[in-house]
Amino acid sequence: MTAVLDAPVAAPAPPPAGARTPAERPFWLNPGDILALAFAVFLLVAVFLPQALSPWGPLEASPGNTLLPPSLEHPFGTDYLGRDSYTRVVHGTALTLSTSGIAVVIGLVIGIALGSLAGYLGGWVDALISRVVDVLLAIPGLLLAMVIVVSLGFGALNAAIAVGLSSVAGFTRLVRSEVLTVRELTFVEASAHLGGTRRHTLLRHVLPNSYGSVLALVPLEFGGAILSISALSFLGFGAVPPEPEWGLLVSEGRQYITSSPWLALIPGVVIAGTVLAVARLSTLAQRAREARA
Amino acid sequence: MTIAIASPAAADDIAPAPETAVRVDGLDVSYVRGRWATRVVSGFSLELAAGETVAIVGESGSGKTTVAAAISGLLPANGLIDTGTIEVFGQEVSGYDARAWRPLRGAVIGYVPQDPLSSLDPLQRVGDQVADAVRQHRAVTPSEAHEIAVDLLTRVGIREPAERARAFPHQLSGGQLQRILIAIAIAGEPRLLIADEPTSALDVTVQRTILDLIDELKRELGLSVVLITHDLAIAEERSDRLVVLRSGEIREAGPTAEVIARPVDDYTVRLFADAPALSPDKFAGRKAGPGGDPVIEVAGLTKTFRSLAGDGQVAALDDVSLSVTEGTIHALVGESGSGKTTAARIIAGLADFDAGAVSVLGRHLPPRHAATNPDATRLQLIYQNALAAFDPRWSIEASLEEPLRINGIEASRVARRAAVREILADVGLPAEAGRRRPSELSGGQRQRAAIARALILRPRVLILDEPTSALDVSVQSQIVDLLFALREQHGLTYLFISHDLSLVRQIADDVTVLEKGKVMESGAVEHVFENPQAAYTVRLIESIPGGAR
Repeated sequence: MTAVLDAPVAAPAPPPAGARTPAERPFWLNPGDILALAFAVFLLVAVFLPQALSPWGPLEASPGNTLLPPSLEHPFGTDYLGRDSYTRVVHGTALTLSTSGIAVVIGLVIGIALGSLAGYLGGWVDALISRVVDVLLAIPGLLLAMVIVVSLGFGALNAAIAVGLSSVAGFTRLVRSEVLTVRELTFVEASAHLGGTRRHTLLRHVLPNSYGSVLALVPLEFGGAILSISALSFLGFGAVPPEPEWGLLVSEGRQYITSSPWLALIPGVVIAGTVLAVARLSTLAQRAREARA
Repeated sequence: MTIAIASPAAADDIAPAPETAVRVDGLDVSYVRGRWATRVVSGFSLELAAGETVAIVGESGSGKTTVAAAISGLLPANGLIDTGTIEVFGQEVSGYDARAWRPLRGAVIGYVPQDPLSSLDPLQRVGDQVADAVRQHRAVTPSEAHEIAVDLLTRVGIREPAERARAFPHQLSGGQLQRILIAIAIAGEPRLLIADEPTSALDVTVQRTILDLIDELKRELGLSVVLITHDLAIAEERSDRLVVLRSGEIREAGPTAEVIARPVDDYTVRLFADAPALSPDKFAGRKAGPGGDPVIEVAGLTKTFRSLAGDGQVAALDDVSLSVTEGTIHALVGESGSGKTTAARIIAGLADFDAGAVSVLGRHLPPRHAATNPDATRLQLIYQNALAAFDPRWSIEASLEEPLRINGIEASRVARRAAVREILADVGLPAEAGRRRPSELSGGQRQRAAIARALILRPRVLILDEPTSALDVSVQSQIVDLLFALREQHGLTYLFISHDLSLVRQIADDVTVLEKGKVMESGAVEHVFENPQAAYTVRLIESIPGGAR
C-alpha cells in the first residue's frame, strides 16, 4: 500500500473533472458599463486637460453670440454673456469633482475614526458617539451643510467641508455596525490569541475588513456630494461667479429657463450623468473583484 | 501516489432484480458559472433494485451531492445534464422541467436534506409543515391532514407527537428535526428515499438512531434508499451496494461487502486505510509512553451561562477536573453541548470562568481572561474552522509573520521571512502556498497553515478544537500524520477536542469524556474504550459506526 505517507506532505489538489467551455459573454461587455466608462474617461480628460476638449476659454465672452441654442459650434449653447456653455462645463469639472472628493474624504476619515472607536471600545464611548450621531441624523443633511457653511463663510472649499461634515454621521453609523460584526470574527480573536494588542487587532484586522460596505457607500456619497455642493452653489453659498462650477451653471441658467432651457438643463444632465456613471463603475469594480475572488 | 484511471466499474453486474428503482446510465453533469461550464460528474452509472440501499461515498467535491440532486430533480438552475439517462421506476426523467417533476416529488421520491435546522420554516409549527406535505399528496381536510401528520410523527419515533407538533423548529433538537424532515419525506408515500448526508450535522448517538429509523422505514415501507455519505463506516453498515466517487468519476462500484473485502481501485484502498473506524490500530506504534509531568491541570472548573430567556442559568461546565501529561495526546470528547469547546477556550485563556482552578504550564489563569494572550509563546489554540481563523485579506505568509512581529521575536523582515519558509516546510506546505490567500487553499492546506501559525511561536502545548472535523478522511489522516511528526520533532503536548470517537481511539493516549458539562470518565484510551464504566460512555462507544466489529 503506497498511500500511507511517512513524511507529511500535502496531497496535490484533485484535477478538475472536466474541460471548461465558454458559455456566456464577458461581464464587462455591457453597453451601460461601456457608456459609463467612456463618460468617466471624458471627465478625467476634462479635469486634467480641459483645453484639449474645447477651443474656447471658460470666461471668453462673445457679446454678439448670447443665448444661442445648441449647435455644432456650441454644442451646449451659449449663455447671457455669449460664453460657450460646453466649455464652461468642461472647465468646471475639476472644481466640482475636487470639491466633491474633498467632501467625501472628510466624511470618510472622520466617520471611520468615530465609528471604529464606538464599535470597538463600546461602553460610554459608544453611547456618547452614537447619541451625537442620532442627533445629527435627525437634521436634514443639506440644512446641516448650510448651517456649517454659513458659520465657516462662503466659498467652494468651505462648501465642500460643510457637505463632508454633514455626511460624517452616516459613515460613522455604518462603520460602527461593521466593526461590531467584524470584531466578533474568529480571526480577530485568533490575532489576540497570538499576542496581538487591541490596537493591533483594530488597525490591522478589524478596520481593513470593515471597509467593504463602507467603500460601497463611497460612490453613492460622491454622487450625493456633487448634488449637495451644486445645490449650495446654486443657493449662492459655494463657488462664486464667474467660476464655472456645475451647480452655479444651473443656477445662472435658471434665469433663462423659459427662453433658453438648455442653459440649466444640460449642466443638470451632466451632473446626473456623473452620479450615475460613478455608481455604475463602482458596481462594475465590485463585480470584477468578486469574479477574481 | 499516482492513481490509475480505472474505467468506471460496470454497474450492471447484478442479476436482474424484481424491479429497478433507479437506473442511471452515462450521466454527465456540468455547472455553468459565468462564461464557463465545469464538468462535475462524468460517466456516472447506477442500478438500484427496489428495496435496496445504495451508498454513494466520496470526499467533498467528488460530485456525490450533484448525483443525488440529478436523480431527485433538484439540480440548481446552472446545473446541466449534458448526456446520459436517469430512469426512476422506469420513467425517463433526465429531460424533465419543474412542472414535469412535480407529480414525482414526494409521491415517488422523498428527499432528506443534510442540515435539518435550515431546511424547515422557522416561523411555522413543525406539525403544520408535515401536514402541508400531507395535503400536497392526499385530498384531505386540514384537520385530517393534521391527524395524519401526528401519526407520521409517531411513525418516525417522536415522543409525545401531538405536543411536539405544536413546537417551532428552534424548540426541537437536531435529531428531532431530522425525524420531522423524514416524516415530511415519507408523507407522500414515496418508493425511493434520497438521503443526502442525513446525519453529518448530528451527534454520533443521534446519528445511530436516525440511521436505524431509515433502515426500519426501508424494511416496513419497502423503500429503496440512496444514501449519500462521506463516512465509509456508515456505508459499510447500512448499504447493500456501494459506489465510490472521486472527482465526478466512479472509482469502484458493487455489492458493499465485496467492495469492502476486496477493493480493487487504489483510491478506494487508501480511503479505507484512512477511515479511523476501519483501521483503529493505524497509529498504535506512534503513541507516547507513560510518564511525564502534568502541563495542564484543571480542578473544579465551573462555568455557567445565563439562558437567553434570562430566568435560568445553564451550567456549561460543572466541577470539571482533568490533567494533561506532558508529551501525550489528551482527548476531550463529548457531543454538542457537552462543554468541551468551552473548556478548551477557558484553558486557552479566551473565556472567563466562575469557579475552580486552571493551571497551564505552572501559571494559574485568572477567572477573567485578558484581552491579549500573555501566554502566546507557550500555548496555542488551533481552531476548528481554519478558514475563519485567518484574515481573508492577508496572504498566508503575512498571517504567519504576524505572531513573530507582535511578539517581537524576529526583528528583521528577512529573518521573519526565513522563519515562515522554514515552518511552511515543517508542516508540508510548498513555499508558494505562502503567497496565496486562505480562500485559495484547500481545507487540508489551510489546517496545515493554521498549525504552522501556532507552531511558529514554538509553544509547548497545542489545544486542537476539532481540527479535522471539516476535512475528508484522507486529508484528516494526513493532518494526524503531521501532528504525530511534529510531536516527535518538538516534544509537543496536545489537548485534542473531538466528537469523533473512532479518531480518538486511533490517536489519543488519554481521554476525558464530558456530558452536559460533567466529567463522565477519564483515563487511558485503551482502558476507557475496552472497559467503559459510565453508561454514557458505553452508549457513545456503541454508536460509533462500524464499532461493532
